[in-house]
Amino acid sequence: MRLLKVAFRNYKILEDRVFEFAENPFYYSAPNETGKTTLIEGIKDAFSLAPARLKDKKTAGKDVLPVLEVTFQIGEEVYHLKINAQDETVSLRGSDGTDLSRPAAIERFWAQKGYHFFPAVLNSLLIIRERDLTVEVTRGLKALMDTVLKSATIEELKKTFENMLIFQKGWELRFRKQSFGKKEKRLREELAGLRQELERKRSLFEEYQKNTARLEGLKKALSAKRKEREVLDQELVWLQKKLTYAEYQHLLAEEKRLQKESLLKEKEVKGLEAEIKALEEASAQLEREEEALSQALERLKELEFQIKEAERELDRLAEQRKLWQRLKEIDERLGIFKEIAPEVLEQDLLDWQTSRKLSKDSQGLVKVLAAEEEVLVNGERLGPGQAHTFLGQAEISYGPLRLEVYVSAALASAKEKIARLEATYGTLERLTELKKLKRTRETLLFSLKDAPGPAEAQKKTEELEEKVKEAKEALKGLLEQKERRKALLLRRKEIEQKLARLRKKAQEAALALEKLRLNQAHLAQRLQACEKEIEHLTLKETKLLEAEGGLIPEELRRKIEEKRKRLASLEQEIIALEKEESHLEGLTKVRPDEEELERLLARQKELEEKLGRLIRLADILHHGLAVLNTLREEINREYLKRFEEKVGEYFSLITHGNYQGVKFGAQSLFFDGETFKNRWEVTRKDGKVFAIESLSDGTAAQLLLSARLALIRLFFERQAFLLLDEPFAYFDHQRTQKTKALFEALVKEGWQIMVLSAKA
Amino acid sequence: MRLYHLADLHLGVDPPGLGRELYRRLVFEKLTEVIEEARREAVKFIVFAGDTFDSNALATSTVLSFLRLLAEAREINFIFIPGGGGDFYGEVSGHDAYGPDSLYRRLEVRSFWERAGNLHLLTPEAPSLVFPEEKVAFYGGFFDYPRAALCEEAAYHVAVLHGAFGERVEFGERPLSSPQLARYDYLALGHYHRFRKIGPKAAYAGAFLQFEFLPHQDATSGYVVVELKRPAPRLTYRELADAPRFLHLQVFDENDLERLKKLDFERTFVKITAYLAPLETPLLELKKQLPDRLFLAEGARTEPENLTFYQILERIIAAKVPEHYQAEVKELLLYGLKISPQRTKIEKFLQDKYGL
Repeated sequence: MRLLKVAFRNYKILEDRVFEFAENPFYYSAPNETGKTTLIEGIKDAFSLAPARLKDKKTAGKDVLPVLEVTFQIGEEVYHLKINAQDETVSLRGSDGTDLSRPAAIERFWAQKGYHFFPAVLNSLLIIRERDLTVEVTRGLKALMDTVLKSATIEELKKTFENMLIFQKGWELRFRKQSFGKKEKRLREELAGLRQELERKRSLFEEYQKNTARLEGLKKALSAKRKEREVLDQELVWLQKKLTYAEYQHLLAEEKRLQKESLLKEKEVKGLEAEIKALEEASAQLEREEEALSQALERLKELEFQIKEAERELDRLAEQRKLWQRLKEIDERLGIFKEIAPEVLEQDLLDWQTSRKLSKDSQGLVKVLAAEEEVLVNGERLGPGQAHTFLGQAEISYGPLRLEVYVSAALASAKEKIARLEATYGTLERLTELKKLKRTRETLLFSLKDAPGPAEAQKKTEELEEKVKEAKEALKGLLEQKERRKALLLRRKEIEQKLARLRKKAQEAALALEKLRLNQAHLAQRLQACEKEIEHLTLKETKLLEAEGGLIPEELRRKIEEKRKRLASLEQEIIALEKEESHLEGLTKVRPDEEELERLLARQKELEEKLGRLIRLADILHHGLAVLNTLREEINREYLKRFEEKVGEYFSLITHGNYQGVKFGAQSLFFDGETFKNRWEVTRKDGKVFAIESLSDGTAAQLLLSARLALIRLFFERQAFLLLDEPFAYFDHQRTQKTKALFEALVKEGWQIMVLSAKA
Repeated sequence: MRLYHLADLHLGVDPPGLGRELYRRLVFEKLTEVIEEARREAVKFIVFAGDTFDSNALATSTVLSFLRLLAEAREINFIFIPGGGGDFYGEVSGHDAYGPDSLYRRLEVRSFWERAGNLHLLTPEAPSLVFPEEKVAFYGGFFDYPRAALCEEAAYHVAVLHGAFGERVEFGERPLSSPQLARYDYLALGHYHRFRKIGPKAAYAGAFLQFEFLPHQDATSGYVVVELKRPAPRLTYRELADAPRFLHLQVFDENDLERLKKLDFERTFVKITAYLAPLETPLLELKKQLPDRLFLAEGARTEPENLTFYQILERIIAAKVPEHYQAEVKELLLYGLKISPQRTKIEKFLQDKYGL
């Protein structure tokens, strides 16, 4: 932007003045109170776009309110800015057709041209008054700096990003619901649903493919099995023909054999019949012989019976003789007592036993009271006072006196009895024995009461023995006949047995023959049937079969059976396969829509990519935030650094290298006036460092001027105009020249420099 | 023992200006050339270190046509590991991550894989593979170091990893510590889209064919030829001729403009991420001539007075933002700072830019 002309009407002391700025730099010298400051003020007021502000600035004594007109150039275009306090209007018209009449529009116009916040910039930066070189980063300048530093913008963008995101589980940032969060949620839901659908369709598709593959395999297997069946059928037919032929041959052979066998059997039957007949005759003959012998042998039985009877009688007689002998012996033993009655003996025995007992049980005592001679009691010598115990009786001898003393009188009489018995019988034992013998005798006599006497018995015995002897002789002959009969019977039995066997054999043979004949009949039928089947064989087949030879029907039947079994099994397998084929055909009838699958896949891909992009976006925002968090400080630091460098450059130039570097003690470029004025340190060429307050007023002013210029350079890349009011007040000639050279440099860059001074 | 190390094919991606189908054809074309080269050099192994496919939702026909191309080269073994964008693995099926809906698990793909004898996939279930005849073994690392024990019968051990590995811990990279390096004769890495060596034994092959805008010096397409030997392999980056290039450039002066004009726009796609406002007219003129080749990023227009600001911003972004995000973060911030505080406008910009 370059000022061309400023026209004042009724503006303070500039009642009707036009300033034109042809040169650059434009140096305007005028005495004090000729309107230099008013010019600057007027330019400020014009660019403030506030006509109301002019109301208090009308020329004294004038009724008409001020009007300011500024003509400026931007690029090739020329613009007229008019501020009319009379109707409180502003207008901007340009050679490019610009025609604006609202302050906001005009400010926007300037911003578009790169002159952001121009009124504020003009006030804060572009108008440099010697008296006040301070810069305070007020709202307008702040806004300008912010367009370069973008601090507010950065903060706003940070907030925007933060409002989109939310921290989850530490580092992870995700979208808030009200920003992309909803979209993300919807996408995930749709993706989840799609995946399920895809899974389902894919399963169906894979199922279809598996079934198709299975069906293919199955069809192959089925075809193979059908082929096998066909082959088997053909083989069976051929085998059947073979069997028929073999059977026929076999039947023929069998027929021959049966015929032969039948003949043999007939012969056998005949033979057997003849044999049977012969044997029957022999048997009849034997029967007759046996009949004759049987009659003769009737007598044998009788004879045997007689002999038995006689022998029994002989035994009995022998027994009787024994008894008689025994009796005789007893009698001899009994002797004289043979006739005595047994009761007498018994009584005597009893008496004797009683007496003995009595004697045993009777105990007496003899005591010698006094004796002049020895007293013997039962042979024992007793002295006076001695006693002797005795049983029954005691014999006492005293001198010539001999006494027999009994315990009791009964005992004395018993003694007498015993003496008597002893005289009779001897001893008791003998009496006992006699008694027994007597008893035995009595028994024997009873037994023999009906028996013949011994002599008779003997006689009978002898008679009988004679009889027996004769009978036995007769028996002997008969026994021989008996043996003969026995042999006959045996022989007949044998014959009968043989006959039975033969008959059985004949029966069997007849049955066999019958069977053979039946078989022959069947065979004939079968042969007939076979011949009919054989007729169907072609000549070629017949020749083949004949050539093959060695056909065994059983084997062929076995093979046929095997093949039939295999065929049956194959049929089952084929049925099962056909069933499965049908089932699979049903399952694969409708091919899944692959295109649909592909569409779903494509949609899934689309959604995943979208979700991927969304997630990526979250990461991008997150990283963006991380950058933004440090950006502001970094930018500030960098611009501060550049600001210092620029200030140092300008200051060094103005001071002709006397000062080499500067340091600005602010942490931020958004400083206040005091900071700008006071927080400087400069380094002189000798290395010494000075704070600004220790500099001379002039040097300090040069420093601040350098700072103002540096600020302009840094934040106002668009070239405009600088209005300097008494910039060289504190400058010596050299520094003035240096500063002027700086201005020239700025002019070369496109800046317009206007210096107002009271000095020439 | 020589092998080729490729990575990040991102088959199925839609590069700006180039389009999905043309990109796919180019990948196939270049891959065919690489296979021919491998045959001439008697290379037995070609490694794909992840992100071979851009998405698990890629059409099966595309996957199978790619696999068929490889299967035909029967004398070469192709070793794959699944990839996945590590930033969002598990949330979406990042590229060809080995999640439940991985394309590697599809029936048709598995069937084909099993029938072809020369395609091999390393997975968490089967993380290692040995070739006894050639005495070389491969071990897969899935966003982590490989865990499988070394195969005794192998003379050379090659780790194939996909993920962020390196020294920049602030960007979530896992360091390749010495024990990890010592175990293997070579570590074939995938994930980053430019060739980069991480030590003498490890390298990112970079994207096989570029498909996204990267800084000029990084925008090469190619693969790594690895000569396995001890103590360290010889690594040669082989750039693909006539491959598309996606560059992002800045135009701040006439020299920049001249360099831009001299680019071969037959295969080059340029995004101007920043330009000085006075140069807008010639740029727009050039863009009119090359509408499909030259793109201007939002917020790229930089007023001269904002140049310093821009340079500072760029410095901070380079220091704080992972490489693969830098361009976008810059574009977003420049645009945002330009139109802030208009939140709805920013949201609209983001919606349009990310296709939301």
